[in-house]
Amino acid sequence: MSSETSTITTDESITTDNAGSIHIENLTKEFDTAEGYELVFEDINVDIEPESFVCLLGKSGSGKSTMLNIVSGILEPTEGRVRFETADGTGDVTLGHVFQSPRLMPWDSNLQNIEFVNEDNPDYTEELGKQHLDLVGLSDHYHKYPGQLSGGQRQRVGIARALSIDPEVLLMDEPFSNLDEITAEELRKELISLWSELNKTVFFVTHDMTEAIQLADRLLMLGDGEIYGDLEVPLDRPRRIDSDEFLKFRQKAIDTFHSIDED
Amino acid sequence: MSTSQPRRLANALPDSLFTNRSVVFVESIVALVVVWSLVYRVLPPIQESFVSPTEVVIATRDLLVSMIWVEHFVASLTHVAYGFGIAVVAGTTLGILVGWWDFWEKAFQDYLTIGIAVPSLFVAIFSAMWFGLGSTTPAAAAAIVATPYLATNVYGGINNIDNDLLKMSRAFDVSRLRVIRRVIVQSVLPDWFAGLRYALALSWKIASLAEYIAAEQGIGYMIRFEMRVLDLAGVMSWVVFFTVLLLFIEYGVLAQIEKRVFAWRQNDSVGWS
Repeated sequence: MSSETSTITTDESITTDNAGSIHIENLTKEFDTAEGYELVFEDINVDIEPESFVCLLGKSGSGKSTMLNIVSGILEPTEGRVRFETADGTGDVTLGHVFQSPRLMPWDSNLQNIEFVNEDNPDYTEELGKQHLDLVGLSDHYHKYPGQLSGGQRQRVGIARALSIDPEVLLMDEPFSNLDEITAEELRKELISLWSELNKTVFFVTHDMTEAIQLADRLLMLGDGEIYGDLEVPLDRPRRIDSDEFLKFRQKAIDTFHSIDED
Repeated sequence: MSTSQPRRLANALPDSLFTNRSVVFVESIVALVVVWSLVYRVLPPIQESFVSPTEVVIATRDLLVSMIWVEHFVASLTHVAYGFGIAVVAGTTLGILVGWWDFWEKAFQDYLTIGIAVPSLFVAIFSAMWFGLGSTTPAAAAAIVATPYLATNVYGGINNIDNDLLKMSRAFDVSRLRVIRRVIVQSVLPDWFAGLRYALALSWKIASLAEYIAAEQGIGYMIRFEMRVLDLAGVMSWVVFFTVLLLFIEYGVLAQIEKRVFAWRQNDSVGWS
């Protein structure tokens, strides 16, 4: 893995060797609605390797956020399970979450927002919180409130907060979809740089094909209740979205993505 | 040509005369006093039933010098403290019950609406009938009137808690106690504080009204006393005293507390999504 930008530097106290793997086994989810049971997906099996960057793609309503919520433990599956493996062999995984909107508490400073999720972390210190804000380029914003930041800066705080709990797996639910394209592009580069430095496993949900190919090692496509596309991304990093290889692979991925409409 | 002259005059004056809230407020008081003086001088029939600003200023000065106000101010303060204190406890508890549990919402929501709709004067009269002459009447009237307002604000605050923050807390496995302290209480705090401000101002007004009807001490009682002896300047001096007191509580105490407690709101220079 190579870094696309050189701006990210990790402090020694930030862990970089604890990525976990995700094993989605026979996963089925149904919702009980007024019209009866609605099947979201059925019998899904996926293994995600440690330190990999996997994007889950799907159209609106395909169930990608539902799957992420099951992986994160917020939702219970109807059948099947999600199992994690960690470097220490316990399977006791810590999950970091980055949401579509940053979900920061406006009455707390950025540093306090990071401290909030570190209640059970005995190693947490204010210094560590500051280091994570440094990591996302917010050295001058420790004590500012989220309302004083731009949308992109707030999402950086959200990323810093997720990383501060030292997660084995980072779950990201369309984190850049509410940002303007220039800011989103900047944050994608920084995310890749962070991932390269920190060696976390990233499970990233998006509906943006270009974003997915820019970021991921592997694309999973969800639709009609199944994973119908599973593509390795064979492109070297850094990836230029206007390169021939990128455009060629993008076309292949789009063809696969739309293949479900033809069936 | 006629419109350009005032514009030129406005351009020559400092901006603060038009933009600074405190300066504009003082200007409005000066304008009020000037209009009052002019009307008083120009319309002689008014002089029989009204007083001039000068007479009110003199009466207010006499009131302050005599120190009579201390006894009645302390009495009113005591009435308000008891009434407002009861309203804070009852209103907050009721607001939490109604906001948090469906059963209590169904049971009490309509009572809150009725409590807000009932005219304060009726409450003051009924309190006088129930509790008679004395300190209990103004305190009870203030508590009865202020409680539903505070409860409604707390209820609204609980309904407005950002569900995304609760989901975020659950995703990060934050303990229930910490979520209550750092998310729920903080979310409700602005509405609760707005309710407190309103309830306090209301408590002062209703306590004074009840003192007017059935008390032996207090600012309201003294307004009634001055009216009985037909001392209109005396009545106005107590009204001025009461108004200044409320403004001091609003801007000198509550606004300062709000500025400190809700610093994050004043710093919202960009806005959040």
